[in-house]
Amino acid sequence: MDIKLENVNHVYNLGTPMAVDALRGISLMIPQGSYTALVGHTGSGKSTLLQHLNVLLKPSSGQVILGDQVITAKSKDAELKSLRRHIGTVFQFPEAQLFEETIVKDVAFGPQNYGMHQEKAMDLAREMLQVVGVDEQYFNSSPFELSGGQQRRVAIAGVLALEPEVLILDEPTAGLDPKGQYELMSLFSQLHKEKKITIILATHQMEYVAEYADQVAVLEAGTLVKTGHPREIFADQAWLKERQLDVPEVVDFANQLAEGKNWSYPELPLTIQELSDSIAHQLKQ
Amino acid sequence: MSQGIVIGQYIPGKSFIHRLDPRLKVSATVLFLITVFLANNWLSYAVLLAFTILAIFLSEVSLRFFANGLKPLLLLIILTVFLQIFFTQGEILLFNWGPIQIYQEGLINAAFIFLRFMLIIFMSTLLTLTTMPLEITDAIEYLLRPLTRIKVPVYAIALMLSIALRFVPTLMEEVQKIMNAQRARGMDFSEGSFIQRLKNVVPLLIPLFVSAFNRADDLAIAMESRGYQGGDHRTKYRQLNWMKQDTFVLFIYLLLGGLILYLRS
Repeated sequence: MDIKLENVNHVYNLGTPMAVDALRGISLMIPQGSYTALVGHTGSGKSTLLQHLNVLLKPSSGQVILGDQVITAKSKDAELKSLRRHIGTVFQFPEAQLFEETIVKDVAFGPQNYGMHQEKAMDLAREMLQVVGVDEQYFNSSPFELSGGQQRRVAIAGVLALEPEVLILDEPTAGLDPKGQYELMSLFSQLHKEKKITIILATHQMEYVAEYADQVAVLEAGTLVKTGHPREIFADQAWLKERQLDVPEVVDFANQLAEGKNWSYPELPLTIQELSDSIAHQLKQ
Repeated sequence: MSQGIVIGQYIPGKSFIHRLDPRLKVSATVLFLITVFLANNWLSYAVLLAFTILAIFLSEVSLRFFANGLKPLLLLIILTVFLQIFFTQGEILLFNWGPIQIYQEGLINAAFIFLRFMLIIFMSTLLTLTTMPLEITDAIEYLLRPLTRIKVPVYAIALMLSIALRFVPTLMEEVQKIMNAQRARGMDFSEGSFIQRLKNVVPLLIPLFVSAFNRADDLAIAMESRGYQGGDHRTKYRQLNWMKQDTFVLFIYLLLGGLILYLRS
């Protein structure tokens, strides 16, 4: 399903002296099957925006369109639950959601909430745990006996078990070791490619944005200041710096190299592969 | 960001009442509560009511917030008022209908009880609306200090109180986060029978307890590693300053108490 935001505003604590404008006039189109990255420094409204996409929050004004459903400030909460089923969300530090006696039961919790039979949900849970790479020997242990990294995987399996069409990821790799981060990001990328899942990723790690995203939305103080392909966004390093954001190391390296050698790239390299190809090409000439 | 969960209901402001010393506000509120129980005729209640209205006016806080303070106790107030009306026996019978007898004394008693509730709630709400929870703890710690003589661990109690208060918003945020995560997994907290709703609490409470215990551990280690020691020689980040106006207000409250003692019949 396509996701569309039209002039979305959100105010926390509406009507009290503590009212805070969290989102202002956001309009954004997230096509089905795309990989969209949300960047912006802490407090820019990323998390609030994500909560509109999975209908945990309703816009104070404006509308969010999910497929053919229109959500406005007046939408009834009861209608929203069924919408949520197609939109999986991996929150920041998702291991905080674990509660069951065994990890299989925990993963099966989501599907069962949507009415799946217990047996079937458990089978699906085992399958999803394998997808995220949790070893079978742990299936019947308590989630609280696992390491932080393993807990993270179990929590993600719990979201994947909903078999969502859209996967929302809020800093999914925060606090993991580099290998764990890489494995998770490859897993999401694989799901994106094989199952055509729409992915929306909020992150500070520009390397991932460069490598995976096909659309970047830059948020600043609750407004959307720029959207475009990573190549367009990362082309202006100074502009990003002003917003306390940065380009991926590859782009930084490429820029510095180009300055020193008086080079120019036909196309800004975003990954190490692209950069090395480009350098090899220039050196040959 | 938590959604409008305000603990201690504190409304920031710079009014005369906001600027008073929390020790004064806490002791004045206690004094006022005692005074309310001394009042027993129309005139004394009228004086107290006028005084409360003046205090609310001085606080510059919207009346709406005071009404909010009333809400949770509304049922109790109504119940007590009705009990007074129907079950007080007196001399002047106003209304007689089978088993129901209403006496004039009952009505008057009910009105007094109602006023007493209003005055107490408004004045204690005034304290919590204009004083930060941590200031209140500081004040309580100071006022309870004499009890250390009889080996009451006042500092430890005050520390527990302030830690508890400090972590209420944090835990609320945590609750919100966990609720969001479970709602995203198809959990519905607002539907179902009473039993179902009780069961719904499990996916919320277990993660909350786990994180609260982890947090408590972290905090204990952090305090230990920085050599925390409570007690007399510890200096404070938030200093309390007793000003002339505080003495003045305390004097007014004592005067009010004296006046009510004089007016009561």
